[in-house]
Amino acid sequence: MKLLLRAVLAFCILMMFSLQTGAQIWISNSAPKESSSKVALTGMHKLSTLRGKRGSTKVIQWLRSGSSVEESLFSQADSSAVLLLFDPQKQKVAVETIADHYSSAFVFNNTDEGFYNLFYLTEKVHNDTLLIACASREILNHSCRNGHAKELKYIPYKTFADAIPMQIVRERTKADDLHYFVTSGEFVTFRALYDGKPAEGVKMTLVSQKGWKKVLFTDDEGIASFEIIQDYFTNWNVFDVKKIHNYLLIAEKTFTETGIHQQKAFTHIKYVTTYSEAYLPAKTNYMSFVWGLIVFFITVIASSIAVYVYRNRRNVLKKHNYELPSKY
Amino acid sequence: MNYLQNIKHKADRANVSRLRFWIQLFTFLLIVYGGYFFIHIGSQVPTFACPYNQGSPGTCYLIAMQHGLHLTWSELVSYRGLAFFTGFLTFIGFFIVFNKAWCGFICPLGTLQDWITKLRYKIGIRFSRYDSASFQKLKKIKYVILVLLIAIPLGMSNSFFGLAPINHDMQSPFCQVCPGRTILPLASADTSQIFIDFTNKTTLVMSTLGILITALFFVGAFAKKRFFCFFCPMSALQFLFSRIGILRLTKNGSNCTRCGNCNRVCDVGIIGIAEDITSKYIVKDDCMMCFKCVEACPEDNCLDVRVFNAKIFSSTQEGFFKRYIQPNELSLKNEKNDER
Repeated sequence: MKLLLRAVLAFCILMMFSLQTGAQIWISNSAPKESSSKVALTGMHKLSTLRGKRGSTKVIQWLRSGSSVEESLFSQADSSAVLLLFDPQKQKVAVETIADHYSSAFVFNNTDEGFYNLFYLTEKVHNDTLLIACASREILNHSCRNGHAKELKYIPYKTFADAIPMQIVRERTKADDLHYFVTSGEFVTFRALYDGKPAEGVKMTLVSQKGWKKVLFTDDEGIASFEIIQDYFTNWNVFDVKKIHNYLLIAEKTFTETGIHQQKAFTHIKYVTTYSEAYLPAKTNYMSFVWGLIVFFITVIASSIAVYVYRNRRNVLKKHNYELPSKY
Repeated sequence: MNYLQNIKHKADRANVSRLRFWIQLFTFLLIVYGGYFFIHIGSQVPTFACPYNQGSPGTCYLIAMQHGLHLTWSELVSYRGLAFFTGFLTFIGFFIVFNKAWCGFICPLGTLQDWITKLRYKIGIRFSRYDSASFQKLKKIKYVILVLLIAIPLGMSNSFFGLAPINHDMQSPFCQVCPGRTILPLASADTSQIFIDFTNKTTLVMSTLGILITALFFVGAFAKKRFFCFFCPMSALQFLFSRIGILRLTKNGSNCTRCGNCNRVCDVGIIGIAEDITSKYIVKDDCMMCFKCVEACPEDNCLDVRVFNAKIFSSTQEGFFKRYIQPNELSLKNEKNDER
């Protein structure tokens, strides 16, 4: 009886949680504990890849539900959902869904260098509102070991107005190349695009790895900027400069519009788009410009004095006597 | 035929150093800022086109080589090894066109050192040279560095003599200590490479070494012409293939009087170019093909610059006197005053 009560209680909590945050589906690079042995983090961007006989070849990403990066549940994909993957050339490519009894994962080959765009779209009517949820992720594929055939510079974001009604893109910075990583302490700017055009007044919620949240509304250019706060604190001797944390961005906007979807009438359309990405600790945590300058100037002064003293104590301009050839 | 002879005659009287100054200025701007103008020259450039510099239009082959060698033995004989081999052939393809003139005419670090030399000369501070014994000992350092930058990436992926693989913090070991990484971004007002990395002991040592070498680069270049080139592993790597270069520097030993002019004007201070009268092919491992020696040689056809076998610039008495004895020219007299 106790067990049954517990199961009912757990089900109720789960239902409440899913009703409250059900639309907040997002795509995660982190594997569930049960799958961690089958997955390896590869490349400089630490993408989850399936372990195979010939090494890690396919990228794998998981569908999750919730607004917490660490606590969100792994979810199963909806059979009516649309799954889209675009390669760096904006060509639609195949993506496979692997499902088990509690989670779904998306698996694909990342053969080309650059950003792959993965989208998972669902549409359903709930309480007179058509909820259009889109989980999106930009997946950067690059390995220095394959050389740098392409330009190592700024890679612009891609828009998919035809396929995605409301898209979130991260504005690129000058340093945004194939090696770029967002770091904590950095301001990251996002743009909300509705039908490919900037969307004003979109509610943007940024959630950090440890659960810190901030809410902003986009301006007339569809822009909202967040500072990614530092939430990784540890002792110096165990500090991991490549400690990957993830943030989750949830963008929401409701429009008044009537219609019928799958024989259900609605009076509003609510778009919820999520975007997640990894970030690293700030370089200022472990790199010191001041110490660099101190070492530089001490070396310059010390070596200059050494050269001066050496040249004064020794005849450094010894004349070299060239051996004359025999004919002379 | 007369027309070609006239051109050759004019070339022999030309001031190549002045031409070199302008070429260096142009290539410095190209290598340091070319990326801002959407120029891309690839990832196997045989000179310090440093990718740490945002404006770089390409990538120095040393970084491509270090990355390319970060392979296990089995990977090295697979398609990854083929990729490395293809990159290497591209480097050779770039290299054979200009041979070691990449150092003398194109290298931005070499150009910077030449400018520091000009500054020192203007201030009136004397320069230093190595004596022949020190020269012979120190010149080996660049080969040691070259071997290390090949062995360390391989040692990160493989086990040597049953030892554990090298720590991955040693990735691109030469880049971590290369002055190009710290100095060239400064040309784009980027100070991000001037740092000490406190992540762990390895990064602490390597980043400190990088800053030390950067500081020594400036002080050394101020005291001695082309100070860093003497230790440059790119120079060592290039020398291994310099025999197949299209551009060549040859010597006719029977015309040499061992006056020593070629050695005196040599920025690196190569003694062999004056003393060697038996070798036809005279490019030494420290040579950067600046052709100052050809300019300063007073003997007809003793030193020649050739493209394949065709002479394009030769030492002549007439050219020597035109360049060095005429007023307002950088003369040997000035060079001697410089040694005061």
